[in-house]
Amino acid sequence: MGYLASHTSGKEGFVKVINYQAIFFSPDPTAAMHAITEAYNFERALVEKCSQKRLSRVVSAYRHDSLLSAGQPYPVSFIIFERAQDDIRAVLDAASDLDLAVRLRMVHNAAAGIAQLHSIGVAHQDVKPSNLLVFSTSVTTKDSAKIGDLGRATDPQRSARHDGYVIAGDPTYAPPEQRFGEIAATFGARRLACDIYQLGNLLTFVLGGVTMNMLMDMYLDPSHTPRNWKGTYSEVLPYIQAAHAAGLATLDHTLDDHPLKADLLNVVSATTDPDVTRRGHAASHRAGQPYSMNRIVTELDLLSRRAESRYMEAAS
Amino acid sequence: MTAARGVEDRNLIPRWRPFKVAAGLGELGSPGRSTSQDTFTVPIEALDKFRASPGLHTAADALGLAATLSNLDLLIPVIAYIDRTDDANGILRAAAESVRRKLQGEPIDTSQDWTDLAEANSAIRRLRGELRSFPRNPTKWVDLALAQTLLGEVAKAERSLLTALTLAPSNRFVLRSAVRFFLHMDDPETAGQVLRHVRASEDPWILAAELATDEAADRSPRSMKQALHALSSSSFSPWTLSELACTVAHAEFNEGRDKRGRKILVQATIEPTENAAAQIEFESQRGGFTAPKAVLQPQGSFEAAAIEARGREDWNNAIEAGQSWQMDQPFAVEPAMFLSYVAAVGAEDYAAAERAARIGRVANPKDPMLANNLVFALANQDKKIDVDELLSRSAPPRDSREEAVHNATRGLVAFRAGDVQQGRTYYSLATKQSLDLNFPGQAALAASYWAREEIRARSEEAAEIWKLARTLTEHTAERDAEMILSRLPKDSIRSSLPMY
Repeated sequence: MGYLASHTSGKEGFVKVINYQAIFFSPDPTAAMHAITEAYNFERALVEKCSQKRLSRVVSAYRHDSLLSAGQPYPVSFIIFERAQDDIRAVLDAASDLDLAVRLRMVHNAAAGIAQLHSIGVAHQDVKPSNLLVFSTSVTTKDSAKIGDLGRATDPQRSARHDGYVIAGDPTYAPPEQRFGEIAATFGARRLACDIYQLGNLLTFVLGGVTMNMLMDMYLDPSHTPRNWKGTYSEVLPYIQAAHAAGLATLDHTLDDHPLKADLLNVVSATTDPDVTRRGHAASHRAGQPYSMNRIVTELDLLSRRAESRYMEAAS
Repeated sequence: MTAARGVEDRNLIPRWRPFKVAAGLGELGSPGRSTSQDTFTVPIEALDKFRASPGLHTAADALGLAATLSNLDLLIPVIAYIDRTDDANGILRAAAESVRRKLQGEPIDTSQDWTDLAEANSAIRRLRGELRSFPRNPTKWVDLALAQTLLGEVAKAERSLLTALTLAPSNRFVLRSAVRFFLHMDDPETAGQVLRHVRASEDPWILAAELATDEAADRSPRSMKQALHALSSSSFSPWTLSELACTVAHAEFNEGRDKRGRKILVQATIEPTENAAAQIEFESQRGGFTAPKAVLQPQGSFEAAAIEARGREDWNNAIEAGQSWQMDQPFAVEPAMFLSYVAAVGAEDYAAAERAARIGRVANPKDPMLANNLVFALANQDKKIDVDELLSRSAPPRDSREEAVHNATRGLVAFRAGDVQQGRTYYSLATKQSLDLNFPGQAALAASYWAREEIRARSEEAAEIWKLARTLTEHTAERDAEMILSRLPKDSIRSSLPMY
């Protein structure tokens, strides 16, 4: 459960609270208690780790605690996060003419947040529009957005219940190999490549208004959807590649003739490549670090800067 | 003489259609193996967010749930919102439309007009453009190869297919398309090479292609054990197994094990693909038995309908079904041969025969029998043709039987050009060659057309040739020659024959 809260100092935050009441109403309270407290402890430890490492592009926690209020039969355990304006969906809805420069900077911030997590050995696993939190929509602000919700992250130093799931995060935004039940053998191919895909999925959403998963689903024959396919992922991959190419072509037609269009499509294409062995930046693959985020972050930063200077030129 | 009927045997080789069409027909679904998959709960935060603050981006995000939600009805308000919001971009409207189609259970549009020859050039340009942007798309390379094959650009088509094979060496669509291409090129060895690393596959579609390739290469089937195992397995649907059942049955028939062949063929009749339906029709006509009617009739079984109508000498329906068959497989020589023969010999619709041969020759410019059928159709319309030029542009006849057919056609052209003596020489040679080769049906057909030309030329030898033709028709079970003779004007025959 989540609440908005404000401190007496005027500082606002988003409070994530354990719903103990739900535990007691569940059919198996002890199992529910175990699952919820495990998830809470996992996220609490992870946000602490991020705070210690000063990850600037990951939503930080002000405080976490368990308090027993008067009259309550059980304590309230919570984590208070910094409060954003809203997530990217609401921000784009509120300002449909938001310049490309601002949108791109937000995605760059998300990429930087994912890279920061990767740098401490953590994979996010659940990058999606609702988890890109916007703090500013000014074109002059470089730190406009952060990545939030580490509840489905994977940290090799801490085990979590969702580590054993084929899809750790929200299945709607999962990369295609996970949607087809494939479990890659390495941490890089399974976790880091998932984050890279979800970043591309998010970029597609910000540019075209729908995710790459939605685009691919538009072109997949019903017999080739995760629901109906009974074979392996490598068997279905050529059909996913066909849907991916069709999706990219549709995105290409939808985007205005912007000077950055070709470069943006290249980033989308590389980050959402259905072939997990080819996903990521080509230069990183050549350097033997296929799932390194560094070049992707640099490229998105460069594209954001170019979009910003175009905006400034037009404004002046 | 005559048009040539085309190959008298039928080996069930894979169809080759554009990817979207093949997928729409269901031929590219997963084989019946089951894998364990997680069952997961789908968070519907996106839907809650849309309900709380409706907007195009919250709607778009909620629409994405279509892939994972089991109850798509939940998305009806989302679709309605997108529909009525003017600012929704094309991509979002298209996405909403695709979810609406899913909701209403509408099939996806699988029509591909580019298989029309007139569209093939522009299709190649478009496909090349798409591949420049996204080259790692094996199915698109196969589609490009098909468009190139339609136009007879076989070297380019081969390169496109090899690219597809490099990208997806084990994919069913790529493999079956490549097999079809190499068999089209009369190169069963390379077709076999394409399948070498998936030999004895568990996939009945690939096994069927392998058995057909062995048959084309005149080899005994190497994966028969696996094929029989698949046929006895309950993991596959009757539809999935129907082509494999036909190829196995065909091999049994060819080995003389008719009883066993028919038993296996029955398995294909439960729910055949259209290709299997055509094979069943062929085998039953060849073997002189009646196969059980398919429990579920396949869509678009044009070839089966064409063969069946031809068997009943229902020429109009044979032409209609043959034209649909040729539209479905415009690169293939088989429908072009069938249609040009049936239209010319059966229906005497020489314009239709010419059209069919011309379409077939775009992808098969060197085929000697297709060239023959074109010349035959043209000569029958008294169109001026340079037969030597036309026939010499194609490959020479592949055997003595084809040579006899060519000679007969040269006879027809000579008659129509007014050179009766030369026409007679060619027809006489063709008839003799056919008899020497022990093809009495072909000899009777050549003699029948020869008689027709003698009568048209009002020659003194007409009666004698008519008698020869009639004698030959009595010595063959094939009925086409008899039909030609029956069409000759009775008065002309009567005045030429002392017996009348």
